[in-house]
This record gives sequence, structure tokens and C-alpha cells, in this order.
Amino acid sequence: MRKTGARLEEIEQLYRTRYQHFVQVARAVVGDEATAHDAVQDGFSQAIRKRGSYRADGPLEAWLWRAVVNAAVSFRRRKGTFDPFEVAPALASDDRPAADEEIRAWIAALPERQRLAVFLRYYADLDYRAIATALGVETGTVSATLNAAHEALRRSITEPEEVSP
Amino acid sequence: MTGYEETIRSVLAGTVPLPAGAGRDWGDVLSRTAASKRTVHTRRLVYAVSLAAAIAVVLAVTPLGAMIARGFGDFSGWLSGSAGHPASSTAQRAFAQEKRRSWVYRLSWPRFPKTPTLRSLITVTRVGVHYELVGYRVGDSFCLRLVASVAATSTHSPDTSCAPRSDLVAGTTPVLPLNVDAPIPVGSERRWRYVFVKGASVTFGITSDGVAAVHARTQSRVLNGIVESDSFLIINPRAAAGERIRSITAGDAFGDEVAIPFFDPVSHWKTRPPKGPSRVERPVEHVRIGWIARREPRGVAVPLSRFRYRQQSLRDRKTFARLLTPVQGGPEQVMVTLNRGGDLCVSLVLSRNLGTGCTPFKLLSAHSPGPLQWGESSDGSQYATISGLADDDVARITLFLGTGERVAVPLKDNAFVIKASRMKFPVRVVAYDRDGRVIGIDAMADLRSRPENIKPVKGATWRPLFHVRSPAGETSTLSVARSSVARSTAGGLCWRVTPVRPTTPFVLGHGSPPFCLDRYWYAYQPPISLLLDVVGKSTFVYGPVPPYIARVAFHLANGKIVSATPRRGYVLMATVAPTKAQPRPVRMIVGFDKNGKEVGTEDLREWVSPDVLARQMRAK
Repeated sequence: MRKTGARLEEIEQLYRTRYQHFVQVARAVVGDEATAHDAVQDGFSQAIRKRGSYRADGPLEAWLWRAVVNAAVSFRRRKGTFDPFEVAPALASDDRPAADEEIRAWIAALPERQRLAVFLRYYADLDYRAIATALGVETGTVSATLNAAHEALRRSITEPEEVSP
Repeated sequence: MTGYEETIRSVLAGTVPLPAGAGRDWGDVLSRTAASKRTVHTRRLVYAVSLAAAIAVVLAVTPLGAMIARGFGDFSGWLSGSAGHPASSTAQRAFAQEKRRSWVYRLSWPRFPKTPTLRSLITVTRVGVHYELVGYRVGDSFCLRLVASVAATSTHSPDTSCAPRSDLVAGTTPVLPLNVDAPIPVGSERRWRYVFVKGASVTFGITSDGVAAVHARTQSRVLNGIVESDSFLIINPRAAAGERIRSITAGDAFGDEVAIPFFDPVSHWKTRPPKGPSRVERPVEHVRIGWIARREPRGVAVPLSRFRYRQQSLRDRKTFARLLTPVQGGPEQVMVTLNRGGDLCVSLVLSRNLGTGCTPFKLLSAHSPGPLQWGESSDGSQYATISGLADDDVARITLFLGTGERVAVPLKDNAFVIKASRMKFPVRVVAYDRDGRVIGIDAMADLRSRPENIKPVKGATWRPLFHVRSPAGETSTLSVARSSVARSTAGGLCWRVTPVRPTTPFVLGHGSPPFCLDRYWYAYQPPISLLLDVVGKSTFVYGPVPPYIARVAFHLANGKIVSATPRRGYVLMATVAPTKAQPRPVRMIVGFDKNGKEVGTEDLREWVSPDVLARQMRAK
């Protein structure tokens, strides 16, 4: 497929408008905001160096998400074994109802790929195709991943109600 | 949007609010980019000089450096145990039950540090076949296990392949294929009066953290692999007969691709000679394994009742059986047994018995075949497990890989086991005594080549390569003909030798009927491994030699050295037959490459002619 490359200004534009989204999604991978910031900076730095290899067969934003997700995963791996519950404090909030706490715990406990898919879909507002590009998987896999996540959420919310009087 | 989606969106929006742009620093991104181009990280200027030098050396010199530089990351996901996610309790239970069914496993399992925990990696269904790839670690081995279920009732026996930790740490390639083109039978169809097995084929392995895509190319198509959980799975759901993977590539997140080396038994045949010593410095006169002779209780006892169902006769009844673990905590074990008939049998055990080889223990001592009794078992298609027993005189064993690397082989209770990548074949196993002298050499035998399945083409024209006459007057002709083989192994030759006595036109010898080789035969054979035939008053030495052998020298008992130049990869030499006074007419055969460098020897100082050997065995 023909390589078209990405323009530096386009990358900068997306960085400036979506920086916080990138950081918060990276935070869902690495657990803390400082490392997430580092991951975003490194992800964009990699993307700039490799911008010549960007192929215009998908949105540039999805390609950048992939760079950031990859950088975040690398940072997390360098930290060693990952405890998914490490993310829970990042999602914590004092003024939310109990049901929301359950959902946060549920998101924190998801396997990494599912958690990323959930963040990219419902926090970064990416469509399935862009998520697939960002995660390096097929669109069908994204669909299946999110369906599995919904199913897990449905169970986690409804099961306690079934046993209550 | 469903209610769940809305709920998730609202929770995420509420709990991770967007700050007002704090931390955003485009200048920092640009400086990191520039710094990265100079291979110096601006934020760590304090280490700049030394770190830059170290990074530059790593990037320039090592494959690992090249891999990191290309953005493929490393295998830390596997090494830290975080690849994939815990497998379902059902899969874990099934794994445990399957292991418990193996009595060998039951005996040895308690010796492992802990029960392996399965990690679920890839689960997918393709064309009616459900594939489940899981991973686990045992000792210093990282294993992948693929279970393919054609239907709810039909499950293909799992393919398990392991890679040693050292290969992940070395990280010379971002993808480690463990099994390539493993067949999965998915049914059969009847055409006319033949039944054809329809099959899928699968290729799977371990990937480094930064691998985003893996593709494979066969003769006729490109196969896109599934990359998940630091592993990949390539499925060829309708593999045609003879279709096989010719190349594998891996891509990173930025679309950069690299070719992945893998062992292909057809195209990967090597003409490089084995490395390491080629000459024994001190031949071992009598092979001795004292603790087995004394029946010492080393390792783990194997209840003799376990062998009852296999015992064909009183002679085969086991009298002694022990399970040895050369590598503490490792999955590979060596089982040694003795039977009433006096056979010493050695097996490699890797959760199940992977094949046994037996030698009469007395004959082992009497005829000193060398200090190593060993074998090789396939572990997937990419790794081989080399194991066996060594003589008491062996103080250490070194594995010389075809790449020039040397690996110390773990040795305990005379048993040894080591895993080697087939990419690094041919290998040479060298045993040293306490004084550092070479007392045994063995090269990897070929278990993949099956010459018996290859025949000469119909109506083949036999072209004579050599016609020799011995001092006793007998003649012999070595001829070759094209072989009729499957397309994938084309290029082999068949050969036959027709020794003729001068008095009668009677033809005999090993070469008749024809013996056929395929092209990759040379990849495994020792450089010099010729056949000797005694015909009447003559001895004929003949056979194939690898293409890198330019000259063969035969050291005769009378002190003379006779040289032969291979023709089309074969040699034939004639000399006198063994006599009582001189039982070994040929003492040594030495192969030289085109530069005159010695690249292989065959020591025949202990050779016993078949007639004499048969007489000795009858006497015992």
C-alpha cells in the first residue's frame, strides 16, 4: 500500500486538542499520571520520527493512538508485573454513587486489552475501526472485546440484585 | 446506545475529568524526538556521555539493540509473567487432569517448583475449528499449547512447544516461532477410491511487546496472523497438499516490517559444517556408568509395575528404572531402565515418554561405542531437545552450534539434556574428560529426513560416478539417479553401489537396493559418515558427503593415506578386507573443505566388521 506520511502540523494539532484524552487513557495502562505523561510524550516523539511510515488508509488520530498505547504498554512492562487494581485509585472519586464505584472497580479489573478498548470507545470516543487500528487488532475483535466487556458489566451489576431480598 | 454504554461513558467522564491542559508540552515532544535521533535522552543529560556510548554500541552491534531501535520492544511481557490473562478454571482443570493421566508426569511433577499456571493468549474460531492458544512457564522454558477442536466431540491432541528463557532474554528477533505449519486434520473426503485427509495448518509463537502484526507467505497466499497477548497464531484453514510457509514477517505499530528467521526443513538445509573439535584426543576404551551397574537409587524410582503392559517377553522385563532430572526444576527428564536381557534403555521424558533407545549394557562396555549415548526429540518444529547418558569419564559436555556459539550442557548423574534451536543446526556434542581432553564427539542425526519414503524416478537412468578396483581385484561401481520425491523435497539423489566379485557376477552390498537422500539430509549428518562393506577380500568405503567437503583422506592401517575427490557429493574407495592380523584396514577418514581446512573426521580405530560383531554377539 502507498505510504503517504503524516504532516508534523497535523500531529501537533491532534496533540494540542486531545492531549488530556491521551494522558488519561495512558493512565489506564500505567497507573499514574506522571508516567502517563511520559508515555504520551514518548508516543508522539516516536510518531514524529516514524511519520513517514503513516499510511493514509485510516485516520491519523487512530495511528497516533496506537503510538501512545504502545508507548504506555512499554512503560508499564518496564515497571514489571502489572496489578490491574493499581488503576483503581486513578479512577476513584469521593462524590460518586456506589454503583459507579462498582463500575470503576469492574473497569480496573478488566484485562488490559478490554480496558483499553473501553477507554478508547467511551472516553476517547473512537469508532471501532479506529480502536482496531490503535490496538492493532481486527475490527471484529474490538466488537467482540466490547461485547464481552458489556456482558461482564451486565453480570456485575445485575447479579447482586438477584440475590438481594 | 445501550444503557450500559451510557453508564460506562458517564462514569468515565465523571471520574477522570479533563484538566485544563496542564502538562501539555509540545516542545518537550520535539526535543525528545531530536534527542532520540541523536540517541541521547535530554532528560538524562547527567548520564549523557556514557549512556550514549553504551546505547550506540548496543544499537550498532547487537541484534537486540536493532530490535529495540525498530520499536519492537522486548519480551518483558513474557519474562515478567504478564502475557495474556489467567486461563479459565475449566482450561486449568483440563490441563491438570491431562497431566495426571500420565504416570511419568505423576512421578516427576512433585519435583517441579510449582504447578504451571496457564495464561490464556488467543481464542478464535476459523472455518469450523476452534483454536485456543495458552501459555505457561516451567523452569526456564516458556511453552505454548494449542488446542484445536473440530467439533465439540473431536479435539486434536494439543501441540505443545517450548522456547528456552535464554532465547527470550537474548531477544535477537522480535518473534520466536515455536511451531511452523503444524498440521490439524479437520476431516477427510473420498475421491474415487482414495481417501484424502483435509487439513488446516497452524503456526504459532511468542512475540515481543512492540509487535503489532505478523504475516506469513506460502507458495500461493499471504496469511495474516492474529497478534494478541504477546503471541501470534497464523491459521491456514485449508492448507493445500505441499503448501507450506516460505516466509514470516513482523510489523511494529508504525508499519515497519522485519523478516523473521525460522527453521524450514526444506529450504533451510545448510551447507555449513558443524563447528567445534572434530578429533577425539583420548578414545574411551570401556564405557562405564558405575551407578547404573551398581543399581544405585539415584533420581526418582519408577515402579517396575508401570512397565508391565509393555513387556513382550521375560527378556524385556524391567529390573531397574530411575527418572533423572539433569536440570533442576526443568521440565525435561531422562529415564534409564535395565531389563532382564541386559539392555540399557534411555528415554527423554517431557510430561510423556518421547521415545526410547536401547543398547545391550554389556555390549556398551565391551565395544566402547563412545562416551555418549544420546538422542534428539522434536519440540515443535523449531527446537530440538538433545538428551542422553554420558560415560563416567565425561566431566563436562559442550554443545557447539552451527553459528559458532558454545553452550555448556547440564550434566547430572551421567544424564544430560539441552534444548537447541534448529536454526542453529548443525550441532556437535563434545564430551571432555577432567583434563579437558576431547573424549567423545557426536553430531546431530537426522530424524526429519525419511529417505525410505523417497524412490528413484520411474525408469531412472543410473549414471556411474565411480568405478574402483580393490587390491584384491574386486570392483565396485557407485551410480546415482534422480529421485522421485514430493515437490517440497525435490533435488535429492538416489545412489547405489554394486560391488562385483571377479569370479561371479553376484551383486551385493548396502547400496543395493538404492538408497535415496533428500536435499536437507546434509543439514544433520556428521560431515563424514560413510559406509563400509566387506566383499570377499575387499573393503569398500563409500557414501554421500556434504557439499562443503572438497577432499576426503582415508588413513589406512598400512600407514598410507589415500585421497578421494567427491563427485556430485559422493565418494567411493576400495582397500583390502579385514584380517585377523589387521582387523581394521581403515583407521581414520578425514574431510577437508576447499581451503584445505579439516572439517570432519570419522574415527574407525574402534570399528568392528559386521561379521566379527555378529560372532561376538552370538558368543555373548
